[in-house]
Amino acid sequence: MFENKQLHTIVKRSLGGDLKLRKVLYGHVAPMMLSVAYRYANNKPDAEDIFQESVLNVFDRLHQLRDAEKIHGWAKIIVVNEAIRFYKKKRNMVFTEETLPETAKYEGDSDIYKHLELEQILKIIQQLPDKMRMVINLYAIEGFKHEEISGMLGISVGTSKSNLHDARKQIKNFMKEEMRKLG
Amino acid sequence: MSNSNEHNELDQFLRDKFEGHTIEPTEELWEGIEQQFAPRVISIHKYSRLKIVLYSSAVVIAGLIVMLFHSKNEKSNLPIISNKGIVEKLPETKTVPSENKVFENPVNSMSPENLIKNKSLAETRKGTERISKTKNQGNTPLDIMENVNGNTPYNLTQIHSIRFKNIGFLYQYKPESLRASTLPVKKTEIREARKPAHSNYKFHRAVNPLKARHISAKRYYAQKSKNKELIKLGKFFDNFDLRANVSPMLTTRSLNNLQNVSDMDYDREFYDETESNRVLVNGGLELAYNINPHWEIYSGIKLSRYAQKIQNAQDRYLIISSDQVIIPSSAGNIIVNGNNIGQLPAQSLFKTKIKLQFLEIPLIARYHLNQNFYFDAGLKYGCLLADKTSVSLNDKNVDFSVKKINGLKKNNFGLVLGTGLNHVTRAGIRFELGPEINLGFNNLNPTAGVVSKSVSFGIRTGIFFGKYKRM
Repeated sequence: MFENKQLHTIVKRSLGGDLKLRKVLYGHVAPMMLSVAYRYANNKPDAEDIFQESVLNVFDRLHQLRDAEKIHGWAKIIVVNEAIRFYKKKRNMVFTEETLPETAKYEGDSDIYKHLELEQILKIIQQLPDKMRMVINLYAIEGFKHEEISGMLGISVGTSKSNLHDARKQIKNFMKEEMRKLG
Repeated sequence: MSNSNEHNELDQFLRDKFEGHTIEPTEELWEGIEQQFAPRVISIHKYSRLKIVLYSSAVVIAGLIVMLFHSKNEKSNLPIISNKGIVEKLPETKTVPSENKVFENPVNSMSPENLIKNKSLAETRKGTERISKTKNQGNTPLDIMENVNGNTPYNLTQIHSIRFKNIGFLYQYKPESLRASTLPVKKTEIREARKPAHSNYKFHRAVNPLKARHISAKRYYAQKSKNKELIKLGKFFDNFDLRANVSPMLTTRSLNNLQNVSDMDYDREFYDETESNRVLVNGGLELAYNINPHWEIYSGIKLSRYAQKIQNAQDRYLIISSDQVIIPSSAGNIIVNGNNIGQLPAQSLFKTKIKLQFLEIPLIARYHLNQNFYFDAGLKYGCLLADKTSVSLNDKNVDFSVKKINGLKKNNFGLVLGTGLNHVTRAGIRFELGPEINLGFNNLNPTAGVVSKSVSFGIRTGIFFGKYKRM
């Protein structure tokens, strides 16, 4: 970790094109960015594509960063936007009001997921369909509201809520299945 | 446990798990990124935006340079400030023409009537000498006019009367020669002469050549303030110009922050492919106030329009459901609702016309380089009056309704830059013509992540109310 003053200098000199300091800055934010990219992608190559494009965006738009201290939050938003853009471009995503069939209905058990490791949870999130993965990430982990998500994804608030509901059900069912495998 | 609590618990669990979570990237990832740090090629669109900014800057800089050069040259005509005071060009002291100096010889006869006449003639001579010494040292516009026009026996006659009054006689003497040369002063000439020299020097009379002489600074500034009084009390509205403005303008937009567009996978290329710019005629009325010979400030009211044509084939709009599609536009997205509108055949084509009407109030400073050439720079405020967006489909049998997402931003502030030429015809009609560029400051697009600002450029034409004449 760097002190504020050091971080400020690193950002300033990275802006000037100093490759060594760019690498230092990369080392500072890249692990967090890659983690976010993995959450939004459903496979490693996609995650790495999103990550690489996001890192390039970070350096392209570094002059827009007002406060060097907030680089983590700022870079995170860039990854999120890049991930949404990536999946929209890759697949003709159409968000609908459709919900899961009744057979997939969640059977309440709030304790099961607490025994799971982070890698297993990441794998479960990656298994979700694109639209659900986007909404659960934006709502549950990033903390956006439905109104904001509807604006970001170009969908209605109702569709956002419906996708979130389905995503939660899916996650819990996957978790249950994972627990069963573990015995 | 209720569903809501379970959901919150799950959300919190996910948030906690991923809080501070990191994955160390491999060295290959950095190498791939490093290779792309080479300078990127500037796109055509970025270049065209850059070009607009560069051209505008070049016009402003060129204007400033010429202004600087011009003001240096002009210094020779301005009062020279020295330690002794201010040297100002003042009228040459008038010499009374010889014909006016001819007075009747005194009558030798000593009759009471002749005595009176002789005395009056003597007084007249004294008076005339005094006038020739003292008169016209003032520099009021009237004095200047009198000097320029030459003799003013009108005043001499008045002095005669005064002198006679002083000695108790009401006899008014007016020699024949003076009577012959007395020409009535026209009111218009007085008005012209009273007009401060700076009122609108471009199209009014100039003061004739004057000679320089030293006057005190106090007197110089007293003279200046007197001129101001004349503007206020007398012909204040002479410093205003009213003109009508008609400008054919090409309307376009600048797009920014498109990397943040998350609602659709559309980028700058998408907008540039689907949208085309249009030329519209804007117009209004302007009232200008001439501050001094070079500077004027004007404001007014103007109807300004922004328009675009958009064509979206099937892969160029977003299908939300079988009954709803979204047509993206840089001036806000358009929702189209209709039965099976989301399942149109491949050859379907949406044609959209966006027409926005703004009521604009500009506040612009104008610098007149000379009689012909000017520069404009200022700000404008635009209030959205109407949004006349229409959508048509090549298949006339499909019914649908249209609405815009969230509506448009109501207010638009912007920068106005321009230059042009002034011309006055022999008939006294004054008009102006020149290029103008308007750069909007506000984002017109309500969609999150898209920044779309209006840009318009074209030819500004203005025609003045009232008659003018050139110097």
